[in-house]
Amino acid sequence: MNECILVVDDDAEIVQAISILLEKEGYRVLKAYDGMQALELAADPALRLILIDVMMPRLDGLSAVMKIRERRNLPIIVLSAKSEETDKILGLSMGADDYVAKPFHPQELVARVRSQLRRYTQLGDVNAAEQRDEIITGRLCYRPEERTLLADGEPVRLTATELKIVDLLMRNLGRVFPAEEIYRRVWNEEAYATENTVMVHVRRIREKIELNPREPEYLKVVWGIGYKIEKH
Amino acid sequence: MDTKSRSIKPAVAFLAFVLGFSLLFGVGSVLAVALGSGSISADSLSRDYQNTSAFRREVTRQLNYMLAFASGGDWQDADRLLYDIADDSNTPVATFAPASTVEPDASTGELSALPAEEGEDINPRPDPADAEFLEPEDQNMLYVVTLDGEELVSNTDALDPFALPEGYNFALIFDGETVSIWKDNQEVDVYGDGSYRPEDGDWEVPGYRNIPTPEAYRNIKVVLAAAQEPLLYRTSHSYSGYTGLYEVAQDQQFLRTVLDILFLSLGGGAALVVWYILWRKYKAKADRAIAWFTGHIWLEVKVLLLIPTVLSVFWLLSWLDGLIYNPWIFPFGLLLFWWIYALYLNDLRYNFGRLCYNSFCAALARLFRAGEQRTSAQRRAARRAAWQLVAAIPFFLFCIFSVPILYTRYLYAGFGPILLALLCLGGLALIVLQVLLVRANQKAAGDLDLLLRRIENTTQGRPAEDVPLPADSDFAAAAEQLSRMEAGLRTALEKQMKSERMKVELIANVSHDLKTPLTSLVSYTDLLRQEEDLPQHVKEYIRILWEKTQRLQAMVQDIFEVSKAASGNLPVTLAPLDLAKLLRQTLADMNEAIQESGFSLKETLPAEPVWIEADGDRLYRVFQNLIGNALKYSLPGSRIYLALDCTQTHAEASLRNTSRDELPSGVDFTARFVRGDESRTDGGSGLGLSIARTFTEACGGTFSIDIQADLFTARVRFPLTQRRPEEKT
Repeated sequence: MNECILVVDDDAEIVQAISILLEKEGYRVLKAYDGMQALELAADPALRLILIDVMMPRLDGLSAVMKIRERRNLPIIVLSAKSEETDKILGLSMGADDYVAKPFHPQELVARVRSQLRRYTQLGDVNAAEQRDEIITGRLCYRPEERTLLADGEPVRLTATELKIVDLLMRNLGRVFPAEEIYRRVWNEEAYATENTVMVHVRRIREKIELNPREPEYLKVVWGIGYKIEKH
Repeated sequence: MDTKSRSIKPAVAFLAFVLGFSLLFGVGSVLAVALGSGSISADSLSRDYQNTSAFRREVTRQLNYMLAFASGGDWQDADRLLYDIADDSNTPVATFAPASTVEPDASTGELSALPAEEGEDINPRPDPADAEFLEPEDQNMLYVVTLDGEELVSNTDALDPFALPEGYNFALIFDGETVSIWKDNQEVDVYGDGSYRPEDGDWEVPGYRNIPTPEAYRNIKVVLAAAQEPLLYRTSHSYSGYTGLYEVAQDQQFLRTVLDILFLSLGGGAALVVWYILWRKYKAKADRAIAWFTGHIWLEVKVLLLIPTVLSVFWLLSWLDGLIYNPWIFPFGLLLFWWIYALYLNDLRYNFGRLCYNSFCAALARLFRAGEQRTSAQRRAARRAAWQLVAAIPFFLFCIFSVPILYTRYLYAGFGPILLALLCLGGLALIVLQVLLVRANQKAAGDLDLLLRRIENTTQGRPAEDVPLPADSDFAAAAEQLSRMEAGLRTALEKQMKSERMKVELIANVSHDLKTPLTSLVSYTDLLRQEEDLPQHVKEYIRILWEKTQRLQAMVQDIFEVSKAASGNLPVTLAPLDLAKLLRQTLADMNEAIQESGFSLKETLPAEPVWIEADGDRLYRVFQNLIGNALKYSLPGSRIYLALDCTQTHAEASLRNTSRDELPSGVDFTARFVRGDESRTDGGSGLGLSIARTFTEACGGTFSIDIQADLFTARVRFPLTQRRPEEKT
């Protein structure tokens, strides 16, 4: 089953590159080169996801996103050459589901597309999920009873120590834990020079749950204080 | 303990100073006055009462009683001074007074002891009743008086002058001619060179060459003994309450005790003065403390207090004559005033510059001014005008009251009524003029007030049009200039904001124009990387291409961040964080890179938290860049040192490493795109230190680089904060 993705950018080469990238992953790609075209193509019922650039002639990306949102409920990822934090917030508030700054890492883009699609197609499970005891933040879902962590609905394979860390942080979303406390509660012993040990595990967990481990969105270091999993 | 002694020492030093000088001066002047008035003499120092003139006086008085008694003379005359100097000639002429009248022979100047009419009866028999006055029961003085070898009167059984009874150590023998005195079995020199001089304090006994012994005494022999330590014998029936030798001894003992106390006080005073000199720096502290205290007293009070003090010194000086009656008032009074003046001098010394400030008038003026400051310029001007008017009222009243007087005096003079009417009108006109002037000033003050408010509004950035100003006022020109200034200010501000906006827009646009082609570059290079059936050398090219696009991407990112920070558009969220922990986290984060580099990184970070306020993400980038640089440019095999030091107010993190290449001198390494290595063939963007500096400064810290030969030190300095992170739940 080839999911259909609409790629919108005024730069034809970029559209081409993204198309090749996505087709390699087995997706079907529709191409548009400005906002108006995007609006026309967005009516295709087979469409499952839209990748759209912000700065475009005729109709800019953000306006297009707003217009599409009026009619369709499907994941939209905004691409932008502006890396301002405010642009990102603006894009997300206009109805976009994710935001990727240009120049993007091709593999990261693919990962984000995959993540969005998985969450979108699994949306039907939401009701069932809510009845169970789950802690959900963005792409992550933790089931304390089963002690399993799902990223985009897929179970993440964690070691026992990593799971203990995730357990602690997921149960206290947004709360910052100093390395000493994490060490004390996970290893159950007072420790000396814990920063390295905790940091190693944090980095391994990131590799497993983050789309771009170098710019983590969930498991974050609060510099000078500790570690936390962000509440999304 | 230490602080306690610190507060006690000045007090002790000051006390030593006051007490020491008081004792030295007070006791010294008491002694001087006593010496001057004759209250004390060389005798006073003697511990033996027999060595005093009082003793000599008592013994000779007793002896002369006995001689007078034995010779049948009037004993009461003997109580007078035995030696009376008749005139001031060199040869002292004395009357010895066994008889009632002794006439000096004017022609010879010789003493004629025997009056002519009593010549035939030179030795009338003594009246035994008079012996009562020789105080026989006073056993402090034993005596035997013999007349013509027959014992006349005695208060003891037998008296051998050379074998005195127990407790007696003084013997006096009168053999009819001269007196010999034995004390402790040693003969005392009674006559000296043989001539009597009253001022020498000689024994006033008969036998001097210049004062012949009266004939009447020739047959009298007296032996007298005095006790070493007299006891109280004479009591109720004694005449005039005088207790003889006992009293002489008691007086001497009392005087000695008083003198001992005085000398001890003098010594104590000197010791205290020495103590003060040793501790004078503490005393200066006490001086300052006292000056601080006296500094708070109003000048007027001080002056008022000084007046009676000065007056009483004159009063005291006028009492100098009264010194004879009360010699003690003077030294103590003077001492008291001296200390009062010392207090004033001390006050002058430390508070001289502030004398007027600490006065009632100044305080009043300050109070008044403080009250004025709270009111507007208009109110102030109005109040001053009111005061002016009030001050002028007495003058007006005077003018008005003088009208009836003038009226009665000049009513009937020729032009009187007209003149008076003119005077009245003139006075009224003056009053009206005054009122009008006050009004005009009030209006001007009101305009001034508006102008001031407008200036205030402008400086605080509020719209200036809030406060209108009348066009016809005194300040219209000033108001217009102010308006022009405001307009200029607004234009400048707008220009600056416009240029700021343009700068931000430029960065955004350039960012977009650079990043779009870069996106294609990255994407297609990645696609190339995924092509499998390519020759090996093409794959090598693609690898290089991929690496360089990655670097280009990092550089572009860095450039935008630095430009944003430089134009002040870098958003920072300052929050309290533990710098020591941040450094440990950074080291943990970069652990792999450090391990791979082969350098050993020595850290000295405090275990306790070092709280500063900064943006954690930015500060992490700072240290990431610094450590990354150190790993990139250090001499292989050398060590890198990361330290965090705290002072009272600041925390300073320093990273030092030995450079691999020679560091060029005179290069600002934090300038953009500057690297130690001019050829730029390595992986750095040249922005690392620039980012470190701009980010540190954006967070409110200071960044500095120190180069000594090949030793490269980067320092990041932040003020410590009292804030702590809020606990998030």
